[in-house]
Amino acid sequence: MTDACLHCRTDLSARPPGGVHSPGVATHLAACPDCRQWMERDAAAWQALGAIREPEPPAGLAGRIFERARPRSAFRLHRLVLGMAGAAALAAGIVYGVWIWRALSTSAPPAIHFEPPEVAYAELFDATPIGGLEHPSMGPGGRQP
Amino acid sequence: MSERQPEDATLVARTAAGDDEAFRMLVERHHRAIFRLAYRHLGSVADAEDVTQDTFHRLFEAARRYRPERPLRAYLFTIAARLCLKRNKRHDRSRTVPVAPAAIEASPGPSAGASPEEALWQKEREAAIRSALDELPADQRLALILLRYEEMSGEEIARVLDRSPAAVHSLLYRARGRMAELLQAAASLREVER
Ligand SMILES: [Zn+2]
Repeated sequence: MTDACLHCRTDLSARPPGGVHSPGVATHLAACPDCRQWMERDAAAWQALGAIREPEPPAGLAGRIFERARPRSAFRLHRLVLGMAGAAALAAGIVYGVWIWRALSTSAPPAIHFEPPEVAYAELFDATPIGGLEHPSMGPGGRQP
Repeated sequence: MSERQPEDATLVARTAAGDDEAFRMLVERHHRAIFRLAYRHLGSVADAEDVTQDTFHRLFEAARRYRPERPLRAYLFTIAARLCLKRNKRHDRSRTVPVAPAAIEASPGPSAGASPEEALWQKEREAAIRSALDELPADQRLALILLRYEEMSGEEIARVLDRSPAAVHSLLYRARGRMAELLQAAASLREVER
């Protein structure tokens, strides 16, 4: 097999058999019985692959997909409520601590930096692990059903 | 005339906003295609179901990050393809039994109206093809499935597999050459057996 054969077969492999060949491929095929034979065998294999019937999803799959995804939304809501309760408890603790400290100290208290509950609320969503959907190389042009 | 269905992008946006019904419609619309891809690649109903569930789970989790200029089907195929390849790596390490018996067991039932002999022949033929497909390395098999059954172009397959078009053409060349060899060998074997 020559480099020209490899080029020809690689070109043929990138599309279904039976299409129009590029001038280079057509010229090579006309002159190369090996590649013509390769193409015939490939066409037979391609056709054989069509003998596998379409697999049907098992009954109830759509429902199971839905049920598996949904509890996560309930879980996220649960975490949100817990997070907000935690933030509120933290805020109350800090206020109480400051009050105690003030009561026990005669000097002026230092400035206290306190993250408002809204920050915890936002972080709760952004910290949710998400993976798999972003694909930098995916541009328009994929097929819609 | 049938009622116009909402676009995928609209449904994803509604899913992100917490609309369960929108997500249900997306699942209804796309789960068969994802299951078919996974089944053809993995050859097991249970594994294909797992990959399909996982694919939609990820869509649900990341719905608010979806960019509508990318077709949803391409997104879903990309996620499913990667999950298939990941699962295949685990399988390749643990695979100790030949694939053919499982493929025969898991293959769909015979066509309606087929005689018992025809049904048996059809089942054997499918098992032989399935077995040949399973002989291919996972990435070659996936590229071939996307070309043969999903009718994707080399460029689309390259995007799904995150490879260059040239790398995909090379995968397809090796996959098709090997498939032709394996199927020819299987056909010769059947001739000898007769
Ligand atoms: Zn040649």
